[in-house]
Amino acid sequence: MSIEQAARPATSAAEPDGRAVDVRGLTAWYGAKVGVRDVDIRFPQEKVTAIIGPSGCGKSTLLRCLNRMHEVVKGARIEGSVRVGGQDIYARSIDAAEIRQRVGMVFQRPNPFPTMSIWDNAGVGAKLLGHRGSELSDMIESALRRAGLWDEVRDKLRTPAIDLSGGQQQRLCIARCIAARPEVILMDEPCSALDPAATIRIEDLMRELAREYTVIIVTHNMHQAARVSDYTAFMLAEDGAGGRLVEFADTDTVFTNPSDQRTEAYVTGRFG
Amino acid sequence: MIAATSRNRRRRRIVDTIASAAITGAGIGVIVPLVVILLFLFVKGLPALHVDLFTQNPGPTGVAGGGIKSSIVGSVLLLGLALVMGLPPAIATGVYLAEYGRGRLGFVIRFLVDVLAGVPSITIGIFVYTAVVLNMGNINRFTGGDQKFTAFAGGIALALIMLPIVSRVTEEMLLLVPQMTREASYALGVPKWRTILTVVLPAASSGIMTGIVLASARVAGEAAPLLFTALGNNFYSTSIFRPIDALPLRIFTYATGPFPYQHDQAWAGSFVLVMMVLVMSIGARLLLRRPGR
Repeated sequence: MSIEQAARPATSAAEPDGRAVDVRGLTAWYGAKVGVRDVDIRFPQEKVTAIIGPSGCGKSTLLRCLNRMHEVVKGARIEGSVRVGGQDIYARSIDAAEIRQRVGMVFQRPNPFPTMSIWDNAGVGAKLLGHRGSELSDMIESALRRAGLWDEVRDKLRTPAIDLSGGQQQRLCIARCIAARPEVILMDEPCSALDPAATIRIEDLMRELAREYTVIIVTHNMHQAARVSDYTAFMLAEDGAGGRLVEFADTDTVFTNPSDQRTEAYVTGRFG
Repeated sequence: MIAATSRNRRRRRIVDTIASAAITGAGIGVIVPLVVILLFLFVKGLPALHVDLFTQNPGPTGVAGGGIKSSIVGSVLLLGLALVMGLPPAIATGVYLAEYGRGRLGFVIRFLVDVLAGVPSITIGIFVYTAVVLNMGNINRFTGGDQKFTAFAGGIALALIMLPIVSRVTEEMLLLVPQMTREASYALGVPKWRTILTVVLPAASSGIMTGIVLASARVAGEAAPLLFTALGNNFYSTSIFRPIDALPLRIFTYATGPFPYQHDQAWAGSFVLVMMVLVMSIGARLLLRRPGR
């Protein structure tokens, strides 16, 4: 166990799990419709894991189960367990808000808070944790720096966040997420609304973030998965009965020597 | 063949011209009454405008001169009371309907709010008369007042008229805030109530403000619910627990009075009232147009 892990007793006391995300027997419904079925997967800590698969295979649903955002949708429910750092995030005694602070999320479309300045946007999560004054300022600045946005916005921190470009807004959303001190960062197709230049910046950032956080991304783009991820999970919904996990291995294996025919067909572009 | 097509085309063009003209005519027809009203107000009200109107209170009946300061101040005060008493429950109701009231209870409340919006203002006046004015004895025991008709009662009546308007506007404006924005907040671990207060309400604020201003403009012109609540007052008063004058009441009194100077002041008062409402409405539109979304 590394020194850093030892310094985080709250998350590593139960099991030496650090910041890994462990999913067991997960089935998620939207009303009567099944989104994902019987998923067992363990996302290793401080790595980038990509979830790939064709549209409607349940990758976003799986992601949203990892920070309890799934239940925001009316009629949504799950079965099975999800553990973050060894702790069952669906335990009765645990508040969804607490989990969402620990497991941050970046969405498909940049969604900064429309009425807030750049500065206030980045500070929402940190403020929620009770940080104030210079401590808060430091957290915001360091988050903006780590998101690679600081130099671009340092002179206009008080201007509305929606005046930024799409790529900058998405990096602001990442900064906002980091400033809340999460353990895991989920990204739901974070580049799909961005141009190629902005995409590259976000991809670099993902690699960067994986040094401290467990990063899990959903992507439509196989090349992106191949470029940025350490591990890749391939999902597929074949019979309308919800998406299943077909294969999970390190990214090289999935793309060069997959063990499942369907994975091979998908990564070689034969469907999807 | 070609001839037929071109004839067809000509017919279409004629129908199009007629339809366009009819619709444009209808559109212009709608604003004719407004223009006529404004014209009347300018012709009759503008000449009667005088500084005394804003600085003097009504003189003894039958003596020309004096002003309607007490009515203007009274109207402003009544509106203020209505806002203070009406906005908190109205906005709270709107938040409930938009953010929590998706079930059966929400449906029932939404329906009742709509019913309240349809209740004639005179009926609201009777209700407040029965519930508040006739019960002033009990209230006066705490306040030390001795009046039955009060600005307080008038404010309640106006607040009740504002309530459904502001509630529904709040609900609609909150529903316009994208779900994406709420999710951004939830995903940071912000609880729902705090998301509503710090993210959703601010995002909807300019729309809600517009609704409040429009509701204010609406109640500023109400006379019926004030007749037997605020009652009207020939003397200047700023006390909440005394009868108070209001512009619509003064206009009614003067317009139906026997003296020509009263008629002039009624016109001038109408002019002032319409200008107040107009300024508020235009202000509201500007608020809504201001970028911030």
